[in-house]
Amino acid sequence: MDAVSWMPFWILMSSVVPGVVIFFLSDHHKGLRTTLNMGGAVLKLVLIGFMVAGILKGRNYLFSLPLLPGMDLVLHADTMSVLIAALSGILWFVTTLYAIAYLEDSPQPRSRFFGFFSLCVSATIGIALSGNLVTFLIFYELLTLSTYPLVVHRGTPDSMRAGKIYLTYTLTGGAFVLIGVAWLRAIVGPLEFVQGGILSAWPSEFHNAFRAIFFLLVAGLGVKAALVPLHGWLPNAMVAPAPVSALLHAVAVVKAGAFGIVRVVYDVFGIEFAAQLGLLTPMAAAASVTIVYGSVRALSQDGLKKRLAFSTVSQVSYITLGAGILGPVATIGGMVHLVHQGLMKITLFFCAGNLAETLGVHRVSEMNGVGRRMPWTMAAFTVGALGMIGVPPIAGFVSKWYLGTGSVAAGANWVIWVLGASSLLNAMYFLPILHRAWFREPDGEWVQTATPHRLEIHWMLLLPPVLTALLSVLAGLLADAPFSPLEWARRIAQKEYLP
Amino acid sequence: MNAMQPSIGWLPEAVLMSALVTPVALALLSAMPLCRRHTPWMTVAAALPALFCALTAPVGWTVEFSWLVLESRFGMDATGKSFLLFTSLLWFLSAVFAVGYMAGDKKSYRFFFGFLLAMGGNFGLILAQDMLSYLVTFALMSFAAYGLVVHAQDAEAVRSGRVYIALVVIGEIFLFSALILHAGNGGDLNLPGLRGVLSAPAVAVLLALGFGIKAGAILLHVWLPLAHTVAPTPASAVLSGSMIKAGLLGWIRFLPPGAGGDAAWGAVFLAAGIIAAFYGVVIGLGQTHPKTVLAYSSISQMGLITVGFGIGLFAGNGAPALAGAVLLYAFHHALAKGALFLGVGVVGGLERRSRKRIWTTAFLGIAALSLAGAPLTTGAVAKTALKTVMIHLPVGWQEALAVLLPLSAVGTTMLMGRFFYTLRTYTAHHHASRMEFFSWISLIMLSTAVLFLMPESRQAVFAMLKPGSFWLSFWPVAAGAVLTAFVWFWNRRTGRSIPWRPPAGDLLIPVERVAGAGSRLAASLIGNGGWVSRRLSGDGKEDRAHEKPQRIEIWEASIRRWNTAGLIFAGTVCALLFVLS
Repeated sequence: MDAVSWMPFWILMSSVVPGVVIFFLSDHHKGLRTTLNMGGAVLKLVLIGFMVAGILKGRNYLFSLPLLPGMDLVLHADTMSVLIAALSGILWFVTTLYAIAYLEDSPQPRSRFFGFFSLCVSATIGIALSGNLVTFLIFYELLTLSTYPLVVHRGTPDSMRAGKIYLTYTLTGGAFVLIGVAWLRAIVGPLEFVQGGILSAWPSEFHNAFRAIFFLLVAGLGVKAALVPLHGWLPNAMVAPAPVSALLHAVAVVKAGAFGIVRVVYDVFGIEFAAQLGLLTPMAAAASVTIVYGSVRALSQDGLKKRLAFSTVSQVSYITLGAGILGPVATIGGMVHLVHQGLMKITLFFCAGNLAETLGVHRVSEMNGVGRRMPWTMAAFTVGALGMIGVPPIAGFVSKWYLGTGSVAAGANWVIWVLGASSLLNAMYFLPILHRAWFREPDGEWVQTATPHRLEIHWMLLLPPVLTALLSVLAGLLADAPFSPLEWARRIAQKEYLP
Repeated sequence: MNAMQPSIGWLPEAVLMSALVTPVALALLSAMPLCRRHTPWMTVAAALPALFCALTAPVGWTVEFSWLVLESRFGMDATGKSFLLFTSLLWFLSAVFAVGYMAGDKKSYRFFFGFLLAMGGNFGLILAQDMLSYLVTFALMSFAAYGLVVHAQDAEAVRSGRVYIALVVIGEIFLFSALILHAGNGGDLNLPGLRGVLSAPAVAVLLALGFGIKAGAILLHVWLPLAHTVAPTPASAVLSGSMIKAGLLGWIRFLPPGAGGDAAWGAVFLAAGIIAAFYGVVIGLGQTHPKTVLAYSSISQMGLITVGFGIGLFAGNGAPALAGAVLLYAFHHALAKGALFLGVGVVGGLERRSRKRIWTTAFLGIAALSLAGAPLTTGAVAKTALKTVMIHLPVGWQEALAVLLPLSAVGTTMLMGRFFYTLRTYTAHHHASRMEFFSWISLIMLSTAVLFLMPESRQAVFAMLKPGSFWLSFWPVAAGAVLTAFVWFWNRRTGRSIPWRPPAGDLLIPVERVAGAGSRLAASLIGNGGWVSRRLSGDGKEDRAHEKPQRIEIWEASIRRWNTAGLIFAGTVCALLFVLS
């Protein structure tokens, strides 16, 4: 294998190695740990940058390692993997920055945290770069295991309980996926991800088995993608520290589920074949129920992070919805939302973390006037919230536009009702927050205390949300520019529908 | 277009886009603590590029940005030129007014931030030449204006703001859905090439309603009297004068009639317009706040403009004079209504019964007379233009309008009477500064002088001097004035007043009640200690209600346990084995 083939491997290692080394550091080695963290993050970004450039030049990044006879560990960078790999690369960088400032002074073991943090990102990157379903499954389970210590990091009874719930859900889901993969492997043989799918050539006596397998896979992946009624772990997991929630909701766990569904639909079954089997509409319906249900539940949450968590339940299902509608435009909508939702949601969680950290504000009802004390944080929050509602020209609007027009073009006009209801509900639970922050007089206990920093908060906590908010705006405003997430999603859709 | 005029290069980009970009950039700049001190002057300067653009950019300039949002097109056309001219004039003078008005306000920077963003959105949507750019700039304007509505932060402002933003969101969803339906079915998104939207019923209805909310169309108008009353005076002026016209422009841009016209849609708009014209007067006559009276007058006047738009739908695209009539009316209403709103701030700041206040009020009368359509005013010319295009209508409509339009002028005159009556006792919170006086007087002068700047309207003014046509525009105003005077004397003589006090927001009140009851019902069904959870848990102890999980949470918790998950898993595996065997 030449250097090109090793590229995916090095990208994976750029976070595995720091993660493993950090485990061996004692907690007071702050400088070294930070260097390793940031060094790995920067290196990964650079490598991903090289890889994107290579793919544009037509290079094929395929890394293969024999695992068992007839079963290879394959890392393959195609257009779809690059989308989520780039997203995790960027978001890992900002989240590491954030996490260092957020947690370095906390009493809990930090080496454990940052070690698992790196492994968690490695697993996500592995999921993104998996070249076949078995590799995907391995990283998918690794993600479950590496995230658990992050969820229970605080060690409080609450977080232990949340951790237990998290494991219950994800391990059960993982078992479903495992059975699905094993069964499919038994019928089909090697399960490489191929754009356009690999099953359509099989004779029709296998179709019922395929339907059952699809159900198993989507049900199992749907746990992490938080499809109702499999979403229960997500709102509980928000007891995790802010950087973990941010990563969990934006790119790591829920995206792993959504991305898995996308892979299964497009690159295992093939979307046209899935439609032929009649699998898409039930999935789109489940996604639609989730979209509305998550938003309705978000309405009555007073806890800020809990409200955001239910919002994630709703928003991630846009991706599944996009995969559930046959047609390139809807595909673009779902794909681009993988990135857009990540950018916007991570912004919101960073901001929630900042509010909790500096002002001790955890509830929406305590947010009166916070915009005056933390204008930058709340400006970023405002961008994220408006983007979630779908206000143009922020990124969320572009996703909704493509999902909507794609659905109409596919004859699924009912999706407009889902999008409309979701936007309305999003407005109903986000706009009151914005109103409180900007147009109410401050009345919290924090009014008496002075700001400790020259900025409203340490720069390493402020830069990440501002940066991701800016990216959310740019992703929408420059949607048609080269290298925008939208352009990349178009590139993917083009390949999935080639005749 | 650029290909045809290669020598001008980047000029169209610079001139057109500076109108949109300057206010937005200055808004972002004004948010920086360092620049906060300069915010007032930045606000004044922000409208100037748009004014310059309206005066100099030739019709036909188009610029395209393939990288912006989803391929944006901006450009200047005849409609846009006229809209941009009155819009930028009004924003500029309101900005000057605002600098004086907000001088003592500690939160003025927040006001100016919203003001600038809304300004940028308003200019941008006029120049937008594709549906998405229109939607983007329309959203920018609408959401930013929320900050203007709730600026006072008191209970009334918060309520008005809630109603305002609720309707903004609903309007956005309507427009978004309409555009998705249109584009998803392969429709053209470029505004100049738009045809046949009216024949797609769902799209047309959504567009008509979505823009109708902004235009204050009947039944969708409920936000308007609330928002225009509580907003700071300069914001009321732009809300009522120019932002509301964004709805009208939306109709004009998005719902172009085909060559043969569209009688059904024409009838809908005509009927809605006529009803609004009278409804605004009837409810407005019962209001007690001068700004609320003006807001209802806006609903009424927008009704008349809607009539003009409806005539256009009847006539089809073969009647260019028609567009002129609607534009002239919009132009006239923007300046006159802006002047009236600013006048409320100026007059209200003067000492009651002082000589200065009487003179100022009298001067404000010019704008009021113009709005009522008294002879030799802009209003009269606009109304005459509207009457002359009635020939495009079927006979029945023509006769009906020939009676109803003058009657609406009678109503407007009475409404202006009501306005001055309520203004008599109104006191604003501060004394108007020189800047406020300057901008207000300029606006009144402009709204009068504009007649003599345009050759067509100059001829129209001279034509009005003929006895016949003079009488036509004179009698409704005279009749309205006589009626107003009669009511006033009767009130003086008997000490009684007509018991007609509909609340501001009229139809909103029952809607709010129903919505409130609905949300209480929903809360009681799924919420803490509600009916359902009481039934389920079997006891009705209120004191522990807040500790009890919601019904829906109980359900979620039940599927969250190990044994449930295990059971589901085992069950599924068994089912699969069964299927396979």
